[in-house]
Amino acid sequence: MSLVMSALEQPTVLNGVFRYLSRADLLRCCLVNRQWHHRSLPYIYGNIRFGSYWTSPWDAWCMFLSMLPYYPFSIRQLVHTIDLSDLIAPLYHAVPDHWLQIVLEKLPALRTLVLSRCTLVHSGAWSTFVRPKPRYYSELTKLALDKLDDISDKVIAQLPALFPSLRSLSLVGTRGVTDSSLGRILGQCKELRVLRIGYTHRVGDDAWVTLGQSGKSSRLTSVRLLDLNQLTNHGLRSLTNQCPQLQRVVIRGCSRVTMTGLVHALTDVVALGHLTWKTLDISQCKSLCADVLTWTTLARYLRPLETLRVSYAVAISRHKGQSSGTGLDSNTVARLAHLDNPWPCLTRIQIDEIPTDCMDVAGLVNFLRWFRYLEYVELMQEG
Amino acid sequence: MDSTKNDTDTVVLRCYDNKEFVVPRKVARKSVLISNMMEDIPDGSGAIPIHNVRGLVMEKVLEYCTHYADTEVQEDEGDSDEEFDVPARTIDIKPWDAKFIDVDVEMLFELLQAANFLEIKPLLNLGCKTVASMLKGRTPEEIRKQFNIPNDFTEEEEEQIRKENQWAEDR
Repeated sequence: MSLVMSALEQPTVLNGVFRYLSRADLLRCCLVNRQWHHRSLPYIYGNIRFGSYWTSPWDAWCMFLSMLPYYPFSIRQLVHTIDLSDLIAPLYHAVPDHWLQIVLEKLPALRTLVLSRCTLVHSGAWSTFVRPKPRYYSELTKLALDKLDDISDKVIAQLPALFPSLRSLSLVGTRGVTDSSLGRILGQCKELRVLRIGYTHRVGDDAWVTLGQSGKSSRLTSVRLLDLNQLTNHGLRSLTNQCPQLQRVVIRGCSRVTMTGLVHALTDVVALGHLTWKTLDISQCKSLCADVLTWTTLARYLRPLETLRVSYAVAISRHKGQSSGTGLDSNTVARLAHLDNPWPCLTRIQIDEIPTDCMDVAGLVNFLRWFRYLEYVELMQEG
Repeated sequence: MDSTKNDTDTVVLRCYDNKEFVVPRKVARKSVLISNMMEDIPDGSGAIPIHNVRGLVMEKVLEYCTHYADTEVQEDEGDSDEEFDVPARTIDIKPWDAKFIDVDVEMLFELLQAANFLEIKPLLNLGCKTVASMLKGRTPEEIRKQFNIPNDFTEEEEEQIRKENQWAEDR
């Protein structure tokens, strides 16, 4: 039996086991002996989520918050993620405004803060937090503030000062974001790599254009823009020009972006010699259409591309033999296949908004044949 | 050194109970430790000694390595900038793995130790998953009994931990 002991005494083994246990199981394991206690703590305290994990998340959160200041430093420094997404304060329940301050002050190693759809976040809470003495928290690198209706442009403009080391920021569906606050984030968060933004009318071109005019470039590698109907070709071109390290480009449902705009943006990027895009999603952009010429250009420019997502209407022509329309018909694809080894890295494709009534199966199959190295195909119907 | 040229070649592994195994190189290379040793030791210089593993366990380890000889190891996704939601790890064991790891507790722990020593990460993970599934829903006392682990806490310490964990209990 000593053998059993010695295998379980090895840190790699014990850590490997704890990775697969739920919190309830870990809480029991930490009472086994001193070594198990020591090794299980990082798994119990590392990533704490309240919104959906608990039977009564609000009570658990209140208890955690009230005990937090009295926890030993050795435990507090283990917490790297706090996830309060979907945590909703009960009606008529007084929400303490200083919770964010407690969390940030007492958790020195906090790297990730997820506050999406959490009713604790509102401009009032934020201002009590910022006002007394401005501080900054440079450990925090990931922040998610999706779908928050109660935070203002002013609050968002303060983010770079509070969290200067941000690498990932998600603001999808948070309508307080404007061009001016986004511009500040882009200008001041020098480490920002990932940006997600969407479903707001107040973000258009200005943030990107301002960045361009300032002569600064961004280190963004992944940008996800969803349903930004104020974004035009002008903004897109500034964006792609200012972000030489982009790998993942999602411009989904941005109804004012056209194919001419995309091709112009790409032409610039190729001319500057920094086309490193691996993922491109241009699905659900209503003004987008592509003829043979644009598809040929895309194939020539986007040689490093690994993943592509487009709408059916952009890919496949609904009218056979019509050259002026959008998409490609079977004959054209057959001709395009002679291009010099098209799409050499593309292994994944998704085609969206396939009409339920008039799907041209032969056309679809022909289109897909153009991509010789496909491994995954996803087809999504309309609606 | 070109380690890929002799993929059909074999290598001899000698366990501490002097049991020897003649193994195709690509099978032996599943172990990071042996792989490194093969590079350091010139060809044809005899058996590679594996001091910490006995023959019976090595046989089982090699069964695993042979089965996965042609499978590329998929690295666990690390901490990426992209993801905000870290999915909870679930214990899913493939059918072949489940059958392979259906052994008594002693063999399981010897395999774990061998996988750890020989640096065969997928096998180590499989062992850890298996142990994790044995711990599910067990009380601390049951765990101590099952694995013969002495309790070295004082009563005060245990009380302190229970207090610290109060908020974390599901309710």
